[in-house]
Amino acid sequence: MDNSAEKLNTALEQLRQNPNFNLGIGQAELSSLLKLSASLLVLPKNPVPTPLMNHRYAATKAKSFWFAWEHISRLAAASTAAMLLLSAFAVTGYAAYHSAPGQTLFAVKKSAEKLQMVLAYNQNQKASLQIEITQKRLNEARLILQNPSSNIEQEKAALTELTAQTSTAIEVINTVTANNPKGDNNHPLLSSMETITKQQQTLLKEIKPSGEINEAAGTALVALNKNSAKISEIKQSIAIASNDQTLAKLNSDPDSVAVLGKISAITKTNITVEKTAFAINSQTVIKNAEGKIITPESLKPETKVSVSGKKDGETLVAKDILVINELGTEPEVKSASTTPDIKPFASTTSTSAISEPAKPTTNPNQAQGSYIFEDPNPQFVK
Amino acid sequence: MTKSFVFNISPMKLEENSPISAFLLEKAKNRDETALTEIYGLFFRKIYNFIYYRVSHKETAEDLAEEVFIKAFAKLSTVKDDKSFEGWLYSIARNLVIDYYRQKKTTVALEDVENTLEYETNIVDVVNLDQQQKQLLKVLKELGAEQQVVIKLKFFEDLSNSEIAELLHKNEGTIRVIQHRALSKMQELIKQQQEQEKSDYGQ
Repeated sequence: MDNSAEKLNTALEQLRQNPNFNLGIGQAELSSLLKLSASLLVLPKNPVPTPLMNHRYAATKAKSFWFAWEHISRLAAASTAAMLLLSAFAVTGYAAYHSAPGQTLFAVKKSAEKLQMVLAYNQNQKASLQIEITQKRLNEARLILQNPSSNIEQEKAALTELTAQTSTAIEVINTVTANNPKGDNNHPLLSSMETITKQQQTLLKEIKPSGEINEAAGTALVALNKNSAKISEIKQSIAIASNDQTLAKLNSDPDSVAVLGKISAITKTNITVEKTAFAINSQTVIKNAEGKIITPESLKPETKVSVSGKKDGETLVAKDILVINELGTEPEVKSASTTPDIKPFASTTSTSAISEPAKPTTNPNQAQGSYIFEDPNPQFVK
Repeated sequence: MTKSFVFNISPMKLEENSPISAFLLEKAKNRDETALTEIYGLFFRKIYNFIYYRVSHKETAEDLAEEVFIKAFAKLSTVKDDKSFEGWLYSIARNLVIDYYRQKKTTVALEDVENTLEYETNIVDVVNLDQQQKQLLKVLKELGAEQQVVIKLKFFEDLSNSEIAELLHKNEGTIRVIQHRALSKMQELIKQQQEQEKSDYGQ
């Protein structure tokens, strides 16, 4: 029983994480339970009204906004220039502190952050500060991207700032770890950066592609993949330097590849973007600019796409293909449902149904078991 | 500008592992404002949903969810590790909902409150169900109380095993076993119903 429970649980987690998970994998009993689980997961839920996020906890904190600047005032006492800068912050400080990318006072906020970096005692503190700032950029980007009233310029600025800051933070961490490969702080720093990059990945996946944001989102995705690869590289370097192989194995994924560019060749089973060739298999998710699932046949040469994939032996297999700019009128697959092959429980005894492709429906958002829906309740409100 | 988002089945689900790192938790314990805001942003909606399903009132759910974070941030030093953090937040939410019902109905028995918490969750939109989905809910009601709770928390509220384990004061292994038994039982009940229907049709 325990073994079956473990197997079912593992498969369930995969089903929850990956809507394209093949429910037919494994024994008939497991497959049948998974189909039942899939039916449970897609039961319609009652809508929950959007909550107001008051941040009321902030009022209870002993540490006020002004105390947050204590490290600035420390050096300001020794530096007239810093004092003047601090005075300027005192006037616009609160507004700047709450500013976001794309807003005028955001430059002031960044200046303050640069000053914080200058004041950091050592490289470790600099790296910690960089992580802190990256988290801020991530929070800001999340708020902007999930706010329906944000404009496209703000969204682009948020993604650009987040990407740039993440790269900077990783460079600083790289320097810190290279200088001291056996440093106690190395692992927590890398672990935090990994958490942040995973959260970025989730945020980017949540963006529904649309013409205006596609370019920025595609660039951010490519940068994110490069950053993840860089983190893996740093881990490998530390592992080699400190002879700690366990660290090198932790979540490192040096086989991931991402490319942004035009399709130079496309077949049912292969796609070449610029000069990088990827194989397309049943696990490859291809989405058009509206975020709908399309088939490889719908892709045309010269279409701009963002492709992320993974090395499988000698082959590079595409995991996600996102169309950035479509050429002309692209045939759209109206059956765009990301639903795995979910059959209602009534047909669970039929193993022949397992490998059937998803059937077309006229509206993917109404397709039974569709995992794509328009969020009626955006999570954040300003 | 009209915005919409593509979510997986679990909108806020990041990883099966805790979405917060030990480093972030340490910073939050040191009253780091950014870390506290990050944690609040990551979990507020999940906690709010959990409470809303149990009180069915937006403002009350908002207030109680805020209260969860006030209490949690005041007691962050008691959190052992990042993996148990999310389950711990749900425990605080659960206790606050119990307190809410206690205050609302001063004479209510604790058992009733627990039942309200666990069995009366009005999450699934029964109006919009097709025949097969209604059958699914019907067999769910035939499960034992404990199995029902685990299935509801897992599939309707999208809680992870560790969160359910924390809420029900059990270990994760036990939750996995209950989950397996519950689904197997449901499968068996469905088959029985289908055979019964065939037999009735034959007659």
